Amino acid sequence: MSEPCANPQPSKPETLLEVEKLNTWFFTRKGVVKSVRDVSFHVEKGEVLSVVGESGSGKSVTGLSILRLIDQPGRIVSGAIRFNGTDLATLSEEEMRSYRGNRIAMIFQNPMMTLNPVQRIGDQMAEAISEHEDLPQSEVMRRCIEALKAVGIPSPEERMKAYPHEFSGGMRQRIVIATALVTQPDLIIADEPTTALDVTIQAQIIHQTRKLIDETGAGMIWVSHDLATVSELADRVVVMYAGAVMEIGTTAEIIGSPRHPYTQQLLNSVPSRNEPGKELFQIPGMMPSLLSLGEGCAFASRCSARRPACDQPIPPEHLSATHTVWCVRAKEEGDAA
Amino acid sequence: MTRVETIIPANKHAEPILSIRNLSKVFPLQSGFWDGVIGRMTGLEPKAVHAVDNVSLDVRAGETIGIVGESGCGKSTLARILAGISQANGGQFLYRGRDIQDYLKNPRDALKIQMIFQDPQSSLNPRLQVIDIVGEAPVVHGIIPRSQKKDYVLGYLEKVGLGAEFLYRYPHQFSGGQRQRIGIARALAVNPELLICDESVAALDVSVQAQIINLFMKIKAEFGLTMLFISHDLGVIRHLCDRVVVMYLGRVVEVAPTERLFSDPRHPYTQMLLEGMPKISLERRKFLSIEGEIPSPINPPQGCHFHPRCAFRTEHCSQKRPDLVSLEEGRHIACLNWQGTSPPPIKSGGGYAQSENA
Amino acid sequence: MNARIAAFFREFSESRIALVSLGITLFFVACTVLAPFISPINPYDLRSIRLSDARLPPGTQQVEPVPELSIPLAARDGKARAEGVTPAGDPIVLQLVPDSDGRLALEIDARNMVVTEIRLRGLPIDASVQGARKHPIRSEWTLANPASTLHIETGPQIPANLQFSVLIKGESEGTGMTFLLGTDGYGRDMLSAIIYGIRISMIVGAAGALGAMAIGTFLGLIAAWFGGRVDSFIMRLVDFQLSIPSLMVGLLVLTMLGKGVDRIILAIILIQWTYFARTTRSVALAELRKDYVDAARCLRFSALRINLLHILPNCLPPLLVILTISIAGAITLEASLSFLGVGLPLTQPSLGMLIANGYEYMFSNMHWIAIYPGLVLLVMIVAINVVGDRLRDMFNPQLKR
Repeated sequence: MSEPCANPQPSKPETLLEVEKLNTWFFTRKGVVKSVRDVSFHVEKGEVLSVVGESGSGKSVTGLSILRLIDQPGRIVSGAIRFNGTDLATLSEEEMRSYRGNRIAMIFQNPMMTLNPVQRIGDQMAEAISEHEDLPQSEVMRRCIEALKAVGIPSPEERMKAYPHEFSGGMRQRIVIATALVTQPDLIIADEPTTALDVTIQAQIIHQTRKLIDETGAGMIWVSHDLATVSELADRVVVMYAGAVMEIGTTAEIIGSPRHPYTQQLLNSVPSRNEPGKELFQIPGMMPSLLSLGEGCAFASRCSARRPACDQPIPPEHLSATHTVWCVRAKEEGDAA
Repeated sequence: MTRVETIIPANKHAEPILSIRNLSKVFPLQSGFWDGVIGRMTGLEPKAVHAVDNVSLDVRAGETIGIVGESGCGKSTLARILAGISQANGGQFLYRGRDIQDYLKNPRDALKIQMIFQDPQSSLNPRLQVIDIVGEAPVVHGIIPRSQKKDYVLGYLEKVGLGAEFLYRYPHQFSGGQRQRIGIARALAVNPELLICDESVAALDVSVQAQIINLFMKIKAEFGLTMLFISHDLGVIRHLCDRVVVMYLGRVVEVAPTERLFSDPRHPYTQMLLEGMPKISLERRKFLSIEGEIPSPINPPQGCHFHPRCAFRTEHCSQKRPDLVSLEEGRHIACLNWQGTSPPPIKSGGGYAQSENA
Repeated sequence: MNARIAAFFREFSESRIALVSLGITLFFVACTVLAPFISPINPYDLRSIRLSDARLPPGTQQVEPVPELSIPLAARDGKARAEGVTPAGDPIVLQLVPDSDGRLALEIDARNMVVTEIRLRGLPIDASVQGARKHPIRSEWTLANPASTLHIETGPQIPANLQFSVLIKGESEGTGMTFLLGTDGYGRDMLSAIIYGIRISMIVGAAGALGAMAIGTFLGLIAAWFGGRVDSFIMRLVDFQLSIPSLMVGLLVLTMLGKGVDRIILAIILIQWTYFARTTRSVALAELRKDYVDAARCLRFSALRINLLHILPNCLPPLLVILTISIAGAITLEASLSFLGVGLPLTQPSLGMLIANGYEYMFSNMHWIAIYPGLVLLVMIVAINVVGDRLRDMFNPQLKR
């Protein structure tokens, strides 16, 4: 089923961000929680890369690590985060600040985490600009209005004078996205931005986001647990489990012909992929504790096709130029599960 | 007051276990002393949220009914009323032919309606051990003597897939899925007939969600339960339910057998909902037809609540409240011009049975 | 459960100062429990108090009163004999005889008593006693550490009749008791008074705060559970109460009811229930919104059961914080009221009362009477408050990592 993978984009893709062997660990009282282990991927300009995983998979920590927003007791233990050639992991906190909210923007699940409830949204957006750039007031206003228009907020000139509580949840999330856009960032990291929203609103935001990325040519990391939204939005997908990457590929490869047992089984356990009323396919067991992970595949304990080699470090298998799987049997069987 | 027709369930032969007529729940927004005085002086109607607005429904024994809607549609308020936790302001609520308030007077009877909650984090008392969480009610209500508590609880834990080692643990020592299992065991331990599940799998991960959905289907069969499944997730509803009730801003807009609803949605809102439902597919969707925000339930639009977002709206949509009318066997719709919305402008597919890997 | 307590304690001791404060607090608790066993004397026992010990500086040894006896002598032609009994019960024999030089010799035979001083009173004004110092005006001669025989010169002739008295002072003995912190104006050992004061203060503080917690929590739960008018009524009552300064309430209650431990506890309960009611209501309202309360309702438990067995245990952490801080507040309040003289009776001095008593001596350079109980009160309140603050930090999830 695996088709020879053509480059999804017509022009030569430019690498925007490259994460290499990233390790972010939390040194807690109970022991070392290895939330992110040897994670490597890259983001190209103008593409949406989705990091998919369940809770505890390390997908959010990966996003926060790129912005170096890991608090005590956690820290980035090793690895490189090259953004336009600069290794963010080696920058000082001062230098990092000039990237955060400027070249790299972040969108969180709860919009009220980002929005200041006692400040007009126009002022908040203007502040985001003036923090990093010295522009005349009229230019700042023009950019804010443009950004609000881009995310589909009607009559932005008036709405800029409103406070966050005057907006609905979906509108707030749009404003957060607009605030993220206002500095014209090269990379946007969105952590579960539509999870708290209603289905119809979620669809609108996904649609807007896709349009924005296509128009601005920025790169985006979309962290989510929802395979369905990911399949509708992302160009490429990184599947994470228990802190490690299981599989990377284009959306077509991951959704259409997944090769890692975890990806396959995860897709199969979605209700809409099962016949109504029949027993759902379910992955037995639970995610292992991040405190006691061995060297081998983290999914091995739940995998039906487990073999001795699974307990050794798993080398990546490159199935195509874009499709990489961390599974010992990726090459052997064409169709598994 | 609008008259709402009785919704005839799919299975006409079974006796309705639960039957509600014109049920309403109004939350007053101004309830202070001075608000009352001002209200009386000015003669204005006090502001209020009609969380549940004239809802009627029959549930037959053994059925699984899905209630679908977005935030503010009143589905959770309805669930709480049906579970006897909250009280309706108006309308009739009969359980097994008896008025619910009368029915709730006897705690042993009242235990027949149980609820599974959304948030596995907060639905278990953090200061109790599992044995007490599950075993307290059966002992207090005299279902079992205290001496049998341990074996009894253990029996139910095994039914939900947990072992004896969990008996003396506290909720914080469990994962979300395990907590939800404990919540299910707690409900089952008092021998319920009707299980109301309010977004019970919404907070769970996909793989855990599958396990819990399977557990729901297993216990439904094993205990002969009637289930009301409240969710915003159409995929889950489609998988579990026999009939679906679609709600919008406190009102029922469409009722249909699940397969009919998904293959042929009639109400414009149902169509929008199905269209907006994210699907795992490789096609890029067009989202253009989805417009507008969900209005605030404090100040809903006049007439049909949905008309500002509706692509098929006509003038009288903003003036007249649509009644829920029977469309065909087992199908009801509350739309003033429902003929116009059929056939649905939606591609069905991209949904289930795309099992290229299975 | 033990593991939980151990983990709790480990987390608590992450703050050194909190751990030290906990130690100090526990020390005061131990003082409260063990006061009768560790305090040198019982300051409530009025018989054990001697006014002669009053206002002694810290470190003074307590001594028995000097044994003394006065024996009158009536001599005819310079001859007399008299007997007396010492306070210890030993006989003393005095003998007056004229000697060859025309003087009188007074022989003192005190076998078991060390005589440290002898005073002769009533001798003729022109008499002289060998080695003695005469009082400038009175006819009184004082001899320190006298020999066993005194020589009295009465002029050229021995008077036919001579009447005088001999005052014999013996050596005073230490009682073995040291007033480590001195004594107060009534001769009470300050250390004992402070230990008993700690006991009274702690009992009043704890009983007051616990009583306030019981009542406040009860009313807070009622307010949260019923809501509406009940809630409004209770909370307006709280607001009303909080608008009056707490010291005013205390003064009012105690002037109406009079002094006494029970009354001051009542005053503290009346003042402090409001804090508990407020906190319980707000925490219970948050808990009521949680699903487990709905689950309990769904399991058709009685309102009493849900409140006491489900909601209340989950409200306890913040209440414990308030309790610790309330104990400190109650102790301060009791000290203030006692200082103002409306608190406890004089016979049961609390720390506040001790400070009040010492206050009048502050400017007579007898600082210890007020300073030491003041310091103890300060340390006690700071320590309890630090413990409370640490608990608050631990229960605040926002500060947790």
